[in-house]
Amino acid sequence: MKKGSILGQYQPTNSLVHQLDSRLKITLIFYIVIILFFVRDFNGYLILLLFAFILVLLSRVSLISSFSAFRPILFLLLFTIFFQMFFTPGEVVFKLYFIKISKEGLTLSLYIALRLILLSTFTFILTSTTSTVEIAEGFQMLISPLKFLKFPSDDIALMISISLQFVPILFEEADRIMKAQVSRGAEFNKGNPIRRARSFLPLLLPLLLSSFDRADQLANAMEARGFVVGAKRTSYKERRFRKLDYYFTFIFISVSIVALSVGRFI
Amino acid sequence: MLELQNVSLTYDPSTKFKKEALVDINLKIQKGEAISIVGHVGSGKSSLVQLFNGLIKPDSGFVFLNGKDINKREFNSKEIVKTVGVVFQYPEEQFFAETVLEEVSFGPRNLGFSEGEARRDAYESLEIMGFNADEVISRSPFEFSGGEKRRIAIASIISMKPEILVLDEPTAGMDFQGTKNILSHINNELQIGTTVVIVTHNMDEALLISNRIVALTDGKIVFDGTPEEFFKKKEIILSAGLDVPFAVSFREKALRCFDDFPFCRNSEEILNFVLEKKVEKR
Repeated sequence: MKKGSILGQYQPTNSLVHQLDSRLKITLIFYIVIILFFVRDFNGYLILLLFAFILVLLSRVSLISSFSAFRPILFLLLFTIFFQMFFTPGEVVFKLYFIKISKEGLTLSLYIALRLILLSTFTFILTSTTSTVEIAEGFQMLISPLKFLKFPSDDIALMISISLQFVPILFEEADRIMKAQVSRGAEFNKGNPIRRARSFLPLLLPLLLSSFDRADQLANAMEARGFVVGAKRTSYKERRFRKLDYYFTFIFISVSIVALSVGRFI
Repeated sequence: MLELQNVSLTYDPSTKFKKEALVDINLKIQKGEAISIVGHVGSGKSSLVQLFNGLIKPDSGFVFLNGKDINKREFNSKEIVKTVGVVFQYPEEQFFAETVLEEVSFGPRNLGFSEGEARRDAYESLEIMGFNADEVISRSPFEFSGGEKRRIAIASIISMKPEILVLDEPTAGMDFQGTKNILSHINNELQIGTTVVIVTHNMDEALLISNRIVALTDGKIVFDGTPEEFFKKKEIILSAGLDVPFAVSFREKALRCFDDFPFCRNSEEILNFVLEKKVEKR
């Protein structure tokens, strides 16, 4: 068992957001990604930020973990802000020798930062309120119409499902191997970059081997239970949209329309 | 030598997955002891041994090695690794080297031993684990059988010459012969004065190898004493989800016929006693 949880890990609190259909949550994430590029006003972003915060509260997931959702994008965030702020031409508001900050640069960097924050918050809401199995199921159902175009949607969905379920297992495996090698005096964070890269060999090789081994065992176990690639399979779960899903879709789209309209019509 | 004082450990604190793995553990391990840490799955055994060499830090309490707190910054991590060798479950899954020599000498080389010293220690540890070192050193560790791989993996820890050898379920997944082999080679380590700590839920194994048993239930020590005392406490054995070893249950039945039936550790000792009795009777 790991000490501490993995970022964006599913937190089963059975809140209203948890009860939403996974297909809906995946679709709305894609929808919001597109919407974010069309919001033109700072107030529009604030509305979406407030909405995301309300969703985090409604989902009853740990607030600390939601703030830590920004940790992986922190570098990207700072890097993007830096470049937009100093290299966007426009009306200069600050100048020190050759360093110039333009009004347009400030606005653009703020918008990009808000977009990234919103994107990671909504993704965090999806992953912390939807189990990997539900995400895979939702994805499978979403791409199932492609079967008519001879697209192997079931197999692709199964691959995604298995991969997603293997992620936490691989994390635990890596943790276990790392501890075992540390017990043999291995050091992973010392020396120059080449030495550091080489020191990861005792971790990566066993991890790779055990992953192949697991994949092989899983393939055998699936075949032993009658799995055939491309064969037609039924599903024991049938999902239907409920009233809650319709209400949520209405609210989500309404909020996004308001956010889009601010600065254009309002 | 190694002492745990009021150690507590919680996984995923302040989340809904919170689990108290260890609660207020006090334990002293002395030189030359052979200790079995027993308990059901999830009782905290593996967490406990990871505290022994500082792989995980306790939330509260202290771990002292020869009187020094191992979780203090000034404590040299290499010294812990050198003194407390931990063999994890399925250790053969950590293999990465091309040859047995490279695999077994990985630890000594990490500790800064010279090439010659590392080679000598690898040879010695392979011999302790029952190999003809000359025959195996240049072979790939991946080409051996399951039992042999396990012994190579144990040798790769022994090669660091730890004062305390900790083995987490060393015979998990092994057949009868493999188990017997491993236990007999661990016994070799005991003979040369190494302190041995075995984590197990196999009571026959615990009885055979140890002179002290520490039982854990839900992260708490519920028993710490000799095997003889432990196997008298049926309620603890049952509550810890453990089994009574064959030698102990046989003795309980045999006491009806022989009042002086001694406490035996294995079937060999039982057989010797029965044969002695037969000779006496004649």
